[in-house]
Amino acid sequence: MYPWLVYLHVLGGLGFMLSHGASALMALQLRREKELPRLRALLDVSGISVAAFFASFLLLFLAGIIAGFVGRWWSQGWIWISLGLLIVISVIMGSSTRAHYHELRKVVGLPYMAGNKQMPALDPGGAEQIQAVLEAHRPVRLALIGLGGIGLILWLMMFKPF
Amino acid sequence: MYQWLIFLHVASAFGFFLTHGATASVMFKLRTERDPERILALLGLRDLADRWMGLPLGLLLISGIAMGFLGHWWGRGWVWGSLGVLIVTGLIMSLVGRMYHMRVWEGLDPQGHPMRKGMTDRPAATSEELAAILASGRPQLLTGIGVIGMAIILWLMMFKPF
Repeated sequence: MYPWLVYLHVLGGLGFMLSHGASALMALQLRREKELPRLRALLDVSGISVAAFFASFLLLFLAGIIAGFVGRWWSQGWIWISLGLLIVISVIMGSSTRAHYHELRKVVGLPYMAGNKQMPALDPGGAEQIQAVLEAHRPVRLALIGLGGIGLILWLMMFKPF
Repeated sequence: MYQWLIFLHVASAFGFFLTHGATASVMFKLRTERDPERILALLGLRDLADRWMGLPLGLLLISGIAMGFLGHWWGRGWVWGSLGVLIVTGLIMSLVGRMYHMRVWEGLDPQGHPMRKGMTDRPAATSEELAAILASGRPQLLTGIGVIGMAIILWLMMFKPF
């Protein structure tokens, strides 16, 4: 039972990375683009894998929690630190990207979210306004936080140091 | 040492799937696109992913082969089975996926592909021809093959059944 849970946990992790790939690389590619249709195409592509993203995250999370009980790991420190890191990274990445992409979608003339409300597309902003929104985002810093955090979680899970 | 190689192997698999996710999402998105500017933006994202994919794939292969020697696994069937599934899956995905993107590039901008500049004098495809090329992608088939291949390799590596 336990090896199968670890198997599902790793499978969920790989699926999570696969489904997150479009958003991650789109964030890096956006700053190289200037034309409205190209920016819109990139912003649209990240939405393709949302369902797979949440499904794989759920598999990763549930298999990890259950494996913690079956393996009796909850009394050890590494599992709590891993869980804490996962939550902190998700909050940092979610909060800093969500507001940015809603703003970017708004200025390039795509439908966007305001709070929990879906808003219709407005007239696109000027080139300088779009550039300002693009430059306000720090995708490399976020990528380093994400990849560094995942590396740390992986190390904790594999080496179980405390 | 062996444990660190496993760490590197899993971390590079995560990196490989992250970059590969972008190419998969682009393939899904391209099927419904008709605007040349949007298609070029998506192909640009795919090329970015393609450039970054080599590093994790190389680390994945090197760490896997090194572990085969350190762990004395090369006399066992599962390690050859994993390598075989990886090669077959990689060949199918490269042939079908890479050829598709090449056809789209050539249909849209025969002289524009970064690796084939000046190598052809063929005219761009008409909009009907381009629509047929775009619709010829098989993202579901490739995703299915890729996910099943990944699940089999992971099972072989974790359970070492023979």
